[in-house]
Amino acid sequence: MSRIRKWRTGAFVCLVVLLAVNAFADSDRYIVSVNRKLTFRGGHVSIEHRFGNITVRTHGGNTVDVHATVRASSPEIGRAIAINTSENASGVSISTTYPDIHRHGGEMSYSVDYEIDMPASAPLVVRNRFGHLDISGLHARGDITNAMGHVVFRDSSGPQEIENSFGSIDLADSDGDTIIRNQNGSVTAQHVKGNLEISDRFASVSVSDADRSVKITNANGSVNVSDVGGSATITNSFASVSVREVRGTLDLNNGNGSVEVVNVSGRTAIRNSFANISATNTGELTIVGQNARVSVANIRGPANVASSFATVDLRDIAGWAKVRNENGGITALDIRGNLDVDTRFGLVKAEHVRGSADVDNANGNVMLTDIDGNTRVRTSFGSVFLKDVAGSADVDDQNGSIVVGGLSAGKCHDMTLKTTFSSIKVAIPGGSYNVNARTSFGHISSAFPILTTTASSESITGTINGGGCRLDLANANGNISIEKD
Amino acid sequence: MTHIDELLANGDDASMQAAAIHAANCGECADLLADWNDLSTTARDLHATWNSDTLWPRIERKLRSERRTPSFRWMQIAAAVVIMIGLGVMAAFALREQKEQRDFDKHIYVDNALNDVEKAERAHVAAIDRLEKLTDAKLEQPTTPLMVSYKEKLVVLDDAIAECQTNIERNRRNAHLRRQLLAIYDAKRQTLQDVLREETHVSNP
Repeated sequence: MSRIRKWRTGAFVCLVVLLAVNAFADSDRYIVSVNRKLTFRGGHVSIEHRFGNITVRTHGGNTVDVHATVRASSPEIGRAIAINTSENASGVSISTTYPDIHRHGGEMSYSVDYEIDMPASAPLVVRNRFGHLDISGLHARGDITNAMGHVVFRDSSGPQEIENSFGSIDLADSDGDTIIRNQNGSVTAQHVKGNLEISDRFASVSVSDADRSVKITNANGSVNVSDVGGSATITNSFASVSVREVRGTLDLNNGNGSVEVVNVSGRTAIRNSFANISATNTGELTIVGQNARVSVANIRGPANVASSFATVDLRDIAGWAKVRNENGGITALDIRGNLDVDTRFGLVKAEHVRGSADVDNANGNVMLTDIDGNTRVRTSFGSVFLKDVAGSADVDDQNGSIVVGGLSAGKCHDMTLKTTFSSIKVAIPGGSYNVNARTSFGHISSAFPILTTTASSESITGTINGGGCRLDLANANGNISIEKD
Repeated sequence: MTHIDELLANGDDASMQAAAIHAANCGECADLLADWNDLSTTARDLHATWNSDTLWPRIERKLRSERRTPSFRWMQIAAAVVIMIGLGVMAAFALREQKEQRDFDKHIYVDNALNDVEKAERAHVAAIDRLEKLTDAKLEQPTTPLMVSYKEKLVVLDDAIAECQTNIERNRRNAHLRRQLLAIYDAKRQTLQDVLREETHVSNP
């Protein structure tokens, strides 16, 4: 191919490319950038917008640089979109006006995106719908309302109010008090130095690293909170709540969703229904559950727990423990104070109680082991097993056996044991007792010699080793036996 | 190829002598040999030579002058650079246009994308219609707080759907509006599925 022909071919290719590019560029779309530079002299920066995203960045000066990108499906509609800006003593105002396009049969479409660079110290008011917001670096009051789009809000100081619906709110590094309201959109807040208040519905809420108090009101969405410097108040329903590392107090109210609480320094109060409650390593604890299985461990103070129709487990309680339950078993291990239990239709099992044990049960067994203080048990239609009880034992049972053993030698144990339609067995390591045993339709036996004052086939009154502690044993329709331990 | 052809093709003295011997006994071959010899003689007569002392120096001068004149080469380079720059500008322009087009399409749907979205919306609406038929009775008279909550959520979702649809009537190809409507449809479908599942809900796990 000759050189001239090569040149001609090259030029032709260039022409074709140019025409193609031109043809490409000549589509119906309309894109125009609008730039405005305004001066902030006080007041606040106000942005009112619909149908598009807003990005706000800040700087140390006093100018407000507005860059708007207008997009429309035709030049006619694009040219009719107005970017309105004004500046005066009350502040800088930016708004968008869209033309009435009903006359176009609804086929036209448009959107406007804003990129705004404004003074960091200027208060900001934003009202937007059908678009995302991305705001960063505001060091003044912010009043942000959005709908139908996501909100990202970062690196701010000063009080902030952020509201959204049908879109998430993602907040990080806020130095001032912060209020967040959302609906049908998740909320994530992290690194907040001021007080934090969040309300939401039908979506999840997640908070981490909040220096001061946190208040969350949610419904139908999970709540996750971690690392709170102040107190935390949480209300939720129909979804789970998880709380970790709160250095103040915790007040948690949930319903129909599981609750998990770990590491709360201050007083902890939990209310829940129809779902599990788990609390580990907290301060003084109060739990009110309903139809809720409760699991509690490592409490640095007293624990007051109430529930129903599910089991309650307590382990390692530094203070007294009070448990109210209905139709559910109770297990209490390592209680370093008095134990007070009230339930029905469930097994009560307690071990290593460093105070007294007071158990009221009905239709359930009671098993108490290693009780430092006095023991009092009321139950029916269930057996009572007492082992290694250091103080006195007072058991009132009906239709259930009573077994007492493992008593420490050399100590006086006043015992009053009463039941019906079952047996009473007492194993004692020795010691001196005033015995008063009576039954009907059963017999009485003793492994120790009893110096009797009155005796019949169904009652014995006398002393063991000269008398001392009270040993009152009353039965009906069952045997009584006193055995060596 | 015959034997005489091969000998003539070889053309050396021995081959030509052998061809002469062979042609002595072959009339046809003798004719062929005679034609060959005539052609050889004619070809020798056509040969000519030029004796010129100036030809080669002139060619050499011409070649040297072409080598010594840089303007044509620079013109070539310049033209190539201009073409490259031109192509580069056009490519950059084309890329920018393409990016703008993609960016534009993210905000304003073109026909194909709009059709896809409307198809997805229709599928959601059909699924919602089916689910609503199954859940109507439960939602009409909610018997639990959770069902009351679901009913409330569905009312909120219906309001949001209506708002989106109103705006879509005036801004039909706005991609954000269409995506938002799809997301709300999806939320409604999931909520209705939750309502349906709630029939077998066990309150206390």
